[in-house]
Amino acid sequence: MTALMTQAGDADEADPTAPPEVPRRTGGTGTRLLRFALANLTRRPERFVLSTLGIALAIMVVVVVRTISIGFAGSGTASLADVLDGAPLWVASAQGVHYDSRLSAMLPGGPAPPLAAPPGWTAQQTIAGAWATGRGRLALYGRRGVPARQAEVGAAAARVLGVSGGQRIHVGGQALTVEINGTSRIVTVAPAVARRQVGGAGWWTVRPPGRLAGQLNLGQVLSAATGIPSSTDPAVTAGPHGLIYDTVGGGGSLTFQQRFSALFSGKVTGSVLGLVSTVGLILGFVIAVTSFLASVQERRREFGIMASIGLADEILYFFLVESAVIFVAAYALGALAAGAAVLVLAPGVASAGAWLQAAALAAAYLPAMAILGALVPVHRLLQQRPVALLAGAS
Amino acid sequence: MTVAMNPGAGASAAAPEPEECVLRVTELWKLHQLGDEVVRALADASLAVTPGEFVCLMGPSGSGKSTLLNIIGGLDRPTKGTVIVDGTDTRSLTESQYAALRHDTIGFIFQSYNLIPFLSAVENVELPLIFEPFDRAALRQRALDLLEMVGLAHRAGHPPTKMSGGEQQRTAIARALIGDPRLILADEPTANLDQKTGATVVRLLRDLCSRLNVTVVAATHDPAVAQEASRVIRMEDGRIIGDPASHDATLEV
Amino acid sequence: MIGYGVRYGLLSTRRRRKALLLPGLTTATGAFLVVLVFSLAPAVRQQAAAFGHADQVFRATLLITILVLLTGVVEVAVCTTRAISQRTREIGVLTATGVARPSVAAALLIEPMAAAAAGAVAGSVLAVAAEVALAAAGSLSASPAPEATGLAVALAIGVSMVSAALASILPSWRAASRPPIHSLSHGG
Repeated sequence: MTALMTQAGDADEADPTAPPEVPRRTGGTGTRLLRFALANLTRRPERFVLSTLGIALAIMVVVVVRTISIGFAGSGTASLADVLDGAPLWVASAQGVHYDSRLSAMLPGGPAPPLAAPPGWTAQQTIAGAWATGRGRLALYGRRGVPARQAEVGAAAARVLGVSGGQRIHVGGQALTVEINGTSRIVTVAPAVARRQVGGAGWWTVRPPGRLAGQLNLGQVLSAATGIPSSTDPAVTAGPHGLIYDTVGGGGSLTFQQRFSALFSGKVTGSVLGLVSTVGLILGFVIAVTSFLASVQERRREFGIMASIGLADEILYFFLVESAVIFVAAYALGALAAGAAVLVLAPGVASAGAWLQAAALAAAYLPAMAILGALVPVHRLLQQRPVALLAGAS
Repeated sequence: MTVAMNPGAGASAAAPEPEECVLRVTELWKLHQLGDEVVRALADASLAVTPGEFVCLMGPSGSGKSTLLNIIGGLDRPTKGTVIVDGTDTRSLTESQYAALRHDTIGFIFQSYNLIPFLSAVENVELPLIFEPFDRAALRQRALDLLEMVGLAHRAGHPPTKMSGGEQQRTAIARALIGDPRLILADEPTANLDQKTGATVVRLLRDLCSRLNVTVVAATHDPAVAQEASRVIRMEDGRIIGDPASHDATLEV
Repeated sequence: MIGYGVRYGLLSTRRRRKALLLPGLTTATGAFLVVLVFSLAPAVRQQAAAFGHADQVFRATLLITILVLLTGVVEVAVCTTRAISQRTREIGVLTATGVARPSVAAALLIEPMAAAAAGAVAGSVLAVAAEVALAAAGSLSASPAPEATGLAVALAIGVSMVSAALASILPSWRAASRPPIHSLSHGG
């Protein structure tokens, strides 16, 4: 009997006239495209190297700049947080406030202006000054709420003093027990103790009554009640009556903290670093598009073949994958090199945390850049007929 | 010598003296490495061409005719063998010396014309000589004269993108002539042209041989070219299998 | 001989104007960064150092300056190698017609250098304008020194043009050295 007349149970018997089945590889389209892209890139590495280097350098610029910028802002915000301690309003003396870089803390220029807090409002006066310990200068703050026999010492300050929790230090003629609190370079004690040690300069921090919490005009309200002028702009300096800094009010795209950081690190730095970082991203993108255009041009024939056998969409997917690979490689190279460089060269200015933030910010732009970078040249390519691509006519 | 000689018609001439030849190819080989295999693009090809001939290298694709032409013109290098162009042995020439030889003695015509897209027709014709200290006006006039000779005086200012295939090829022919070459090498000159235009181009080549005493060697598979040629050399698989001027008794005539 | 190559190069640059756009744009962006960073680095350093670690800030700004310069060089190289590979067939035609290599290299040099020069000038002008705008908006508490800006502009233009020249000569010389059949058949 012919082999064709098989019974139902003979399903295992192969039909001798059928072509052998091509075994299917495991892994989805994504992996196949990835393998294809990697094979292509390793085949002509010289083209890949120059453009990846260019994009990596641009990303490195962006990450270095942003790391430094975030590092600055971080110091600024930290010192502001040390001052405000959660309060929204900060009342400075007529002589203003300034940041002392060696002490890493804000210091007042003179005594806090006389302030009568309206009913329901809480005003806390902080004494602040520079304290010359035997071991180095530290910022000393005096705040209500710190027990008379205690000193809250920030971790960095503790290192300067060479003390740990439970030990005793002498401030303002008094022996105080050290309690390590926070990371700053500031020692906080009771106001009377601070006054004896560094004098009467200081400021107020003011909290509104609960019913007014969250409002955006707190500075103006307090100003109306006390006669002290108010501002939401940290660049404004105090007048003869002092100044209320409203750290939550006002509008605009930047918070008080951000504007303060920008101010804090110099007016040049904030905007310039931001501009450099943006333009750096643009440069990286343009380099990518140029090299992708060249790559597409060189392989026109190859793509023409793909299009003519019906793989027009695959060209786009393949190019997206290739673009993604190049961008990921360039980003890894650029971001890591940036981190290494900044942490080695300027560890005091930039921290690992700042770098992580900067790298994450840069990474946020990558998907858009990779997709657009691949789309632009491929779009032009796909508009042509496969015949034109195959002929390779210029 | 405008009468086309069919292969086999008439007795074959005695072998020409070496000094009379404008081109002499001796035992030329070209081998490629393709993976594990060695491809023989040319195998032991020999021929001699006297001035004024219109020689046609005829054969199917892969027969080696284009390879032979490219090597004669120095666009490619042989694996073994000699090529003597106008008395010069090309084996010892460096790339720049070969370029100089091309410049002075050889004119090239390609299947895909190879005109510069951003230059006008007359500028394309002038191209080979604009890097020399020639009088610009005289050069321009000569280029225009050549364009007129090929029937394209009215298209002198047009770029290749605005010309038909036949017009582009005729411009390329004019360009090949600007340097007053002794030898013109044409690689598939009619392949991209329709039959009628192709016939025009071939007749033009034939007339060049007779009127300007230029020698033309054309590689083609187009029988229309072979018809107009004074001598047809047949090639297959890298070998010359038919040459009416050859003494070799093993070759078909 | 090279003079004629240069003349051909000028002609081809004029005719191929549109091809100057992308390289010019890229170079402009790079030059913008170079001029901005170079001319403002001293002021940035001074102000940022106010809150400590002056030497580290100096090293950081130096790093940014060098990086920006390197990026400028590489982007010009990327654009120029692309431009040359686009013209491989043209190189093949020139070589096949017997034009000598120095002339070919000289001819192919003009367009990348022109794009680099134009882009660098445009980028520098934009950078200076940006500095002026920032200063007017009060975002700069110290205006950039004119000498620093002048040096930066000269540097941007000079480096761009030299990079374009080098990135052009090497591949075009190599292409003109190969047997023309390669350039003619594989050219773009």
